[in-house]
Amino acid sequence: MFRFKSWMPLFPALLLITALALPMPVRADGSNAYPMNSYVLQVNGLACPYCAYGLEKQFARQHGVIKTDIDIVKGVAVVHVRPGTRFTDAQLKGFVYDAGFALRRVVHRPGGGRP
Amino acid sequence: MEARIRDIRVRRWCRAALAASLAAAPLSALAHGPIFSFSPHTEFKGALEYHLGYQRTEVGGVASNEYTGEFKYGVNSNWTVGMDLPYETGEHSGVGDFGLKTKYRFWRRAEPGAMRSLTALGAVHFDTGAAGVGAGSSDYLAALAYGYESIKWYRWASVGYRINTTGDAGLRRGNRWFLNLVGGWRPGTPIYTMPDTVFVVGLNAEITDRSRQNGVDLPNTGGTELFVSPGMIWTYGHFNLRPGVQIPVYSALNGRQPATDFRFRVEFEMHY
Repeated sequence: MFRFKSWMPLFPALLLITALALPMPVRADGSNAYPMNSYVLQVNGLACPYCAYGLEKQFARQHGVIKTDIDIVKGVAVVHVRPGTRFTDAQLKGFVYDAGFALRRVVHRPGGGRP
Repeated sequence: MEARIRDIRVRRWCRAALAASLAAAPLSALAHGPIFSFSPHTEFKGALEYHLGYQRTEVGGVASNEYTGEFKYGVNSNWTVGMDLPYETGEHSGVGDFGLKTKYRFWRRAEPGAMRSLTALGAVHFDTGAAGVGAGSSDYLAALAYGYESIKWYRWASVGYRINTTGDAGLRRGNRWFLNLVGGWRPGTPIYTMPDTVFVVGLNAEITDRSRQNGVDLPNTGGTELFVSPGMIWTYGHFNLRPGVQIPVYSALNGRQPATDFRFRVEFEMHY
């Protein structure tokens, strides 16, 4: 059956990977002020960084998007856009769905307008 | 004399095919998820994912190494298609069977910080591998996978069934059921721009029918094996590394045949 000796050499590699992978301290933000030219979205289903990459990628494909910041724990995506870039709710919902998640609500729009 | 030599060759071929069958773990999970079982996770729309896998298997003290390259594409956020090609070294070396696979997530419920999903998977491996490395026949797999993935806890359950067709020399390897339960725990807080670790442990059952040759059951084939499979999922951005080991805890194989000693697998994935 299982022989410990035969896979013992793999232990150091596993330990090294574990050590490298230990999470870093959370960076406290505390700010509720959203950038002027941004959409702030509450997204359901965000649970891991590897999945969340899809959200960044979907928005990166859209014209006028500069970058997307994601807070997995809060379930928030901040989409920074160039001035004048506008998306409808249906578009935002579609982008989030195509990333594999669900748009809960739009918290903030460019110019500070609230829905 | 010639007939005897041919008979010996056929027997050797059959042994190699059965060994390949024993070594074969469930098809790779298609996108990140549990290491030794099926994952309900599908890629985002338009995603390209590259996957490199290594598996070391020891059965009855005989080791084999399998290297797998996979490519996947997210047709939409619920439908992923892919292909894979293994290369094996050990008692026999060479390119294995080329495979096509697909998965469709037909139900998902996104909640704050959690996702539940149910996915159907299908795969076919064609008889393209080298003698003694490939299965010697085309195989089909169907599976159903459920997953709950949250910020702190993960749990997956899946069931799969592999149908093997009759190959050369009239050998038909036994069909196999795969039953899997997996739990996962994230010790820290996931931060998008930071490395992330999830520890997982699974319980995997493999129930294999007897193989048949020219319509006759082979006595020393088939049976049940149960494994415990600890491992980890390490993520950094759009990179994913998943090492794990499968340790047999119960074995009820028919007749006289070697049991699995262990399987070690590490998978590396990146998508963009």
